[in-house]
Amino acid sequence: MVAYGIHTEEAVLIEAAKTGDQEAFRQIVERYQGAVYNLAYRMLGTPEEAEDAAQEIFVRIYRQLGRYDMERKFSTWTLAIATNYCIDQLRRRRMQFVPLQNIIPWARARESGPEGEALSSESRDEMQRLLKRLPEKYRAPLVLRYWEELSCAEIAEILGVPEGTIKTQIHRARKQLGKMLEGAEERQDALSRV
Amino acid sequence: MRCRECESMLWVYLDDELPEGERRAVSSHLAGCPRCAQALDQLRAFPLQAARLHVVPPPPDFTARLMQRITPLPTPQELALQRDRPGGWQGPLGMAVAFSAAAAAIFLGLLSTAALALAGGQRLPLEFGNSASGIANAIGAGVAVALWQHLSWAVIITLVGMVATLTILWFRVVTPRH
Ligand SMILES: [Zn+2]
Repeated sequence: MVAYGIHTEEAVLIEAAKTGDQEAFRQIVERYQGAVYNLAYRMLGTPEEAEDAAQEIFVRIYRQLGRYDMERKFSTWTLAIATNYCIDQLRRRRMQFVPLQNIIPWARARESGPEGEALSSESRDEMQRLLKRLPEKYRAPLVLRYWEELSCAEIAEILGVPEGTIKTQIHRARKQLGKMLEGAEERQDALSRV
Repeated sequence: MRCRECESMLWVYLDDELPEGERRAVSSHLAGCPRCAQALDQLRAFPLQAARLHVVPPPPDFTARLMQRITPLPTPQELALQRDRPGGWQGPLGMAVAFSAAAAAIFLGLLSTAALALAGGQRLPLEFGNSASGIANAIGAGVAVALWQHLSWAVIITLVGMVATLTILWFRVVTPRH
């Protein structure tokens, strides 16, 4: 791609980090923390969970770095660890009791009065609300495709499924999101008319 | 082109990633099919432009807090060597738990087979004893795999399956005698 120079610079950092250069690892973290944190935020839903997950993911990356194969693209390798961790968290979560407002949309809507507006940046992020309502299996392909801007082939490699499956999942996810968004806009129109 | 086929290509069409021939086929189908045209509008209604997909930054102290956890760890190379050696921690512990669960399941299976034989007041035919312990073995292996992988629904389903199998065995062999 464009960045042969960046690639080799990154390779040097990785080699250094492998042998215990913590400053090199810190620089790798700085490069990828945005991508990893964002992925976790979009997949898991809240900033708190996203931060815990992102911390854990980087510890895993550090632990597995010694076995990283320099032939693989580092960003794909990193996002694969991150995605698999988040999928695992979602799976675990299904085993536990979930707070009411995570299941019932209106339980949260009730809280946001006039002063509730400024509560969190999360509530202002419409896409985040829609993502939360999307079936979990669609989240990873969609987030990787549109927030992390990976190709369908790379996503297929990360999730270990055929590329055709990824395309179908993204198609269905977009369709569903489109419908939700239309619904949301109709409701908003109705409100503004009152 | 059929509607089904058209619909499956719509998002690739929107992203302008279709080969020329297919792109033209989809366009001409859309021109004559209100249903697919509406589906396309629905897809368009979901905007994936960068403006709406704003990236949320991690908290400012993220790296500092992470490095506090990284500092005490051995180097990644040392960690890789440790993992290659048989040993480590999580793996063997998980295995031990899984295998004792499996052993317990097999034992339970054999015990119940014996109990059934006693309750029935006679020796069971050989094939029955074999198939019962075979089932118990399979169940045990299933529990082992499930536990080793994750503690999840798989474990619960396996355990329920185990109980169900033993219940069926009990009613089929013991009840007819009373
Ligand atoms: Zn059509």
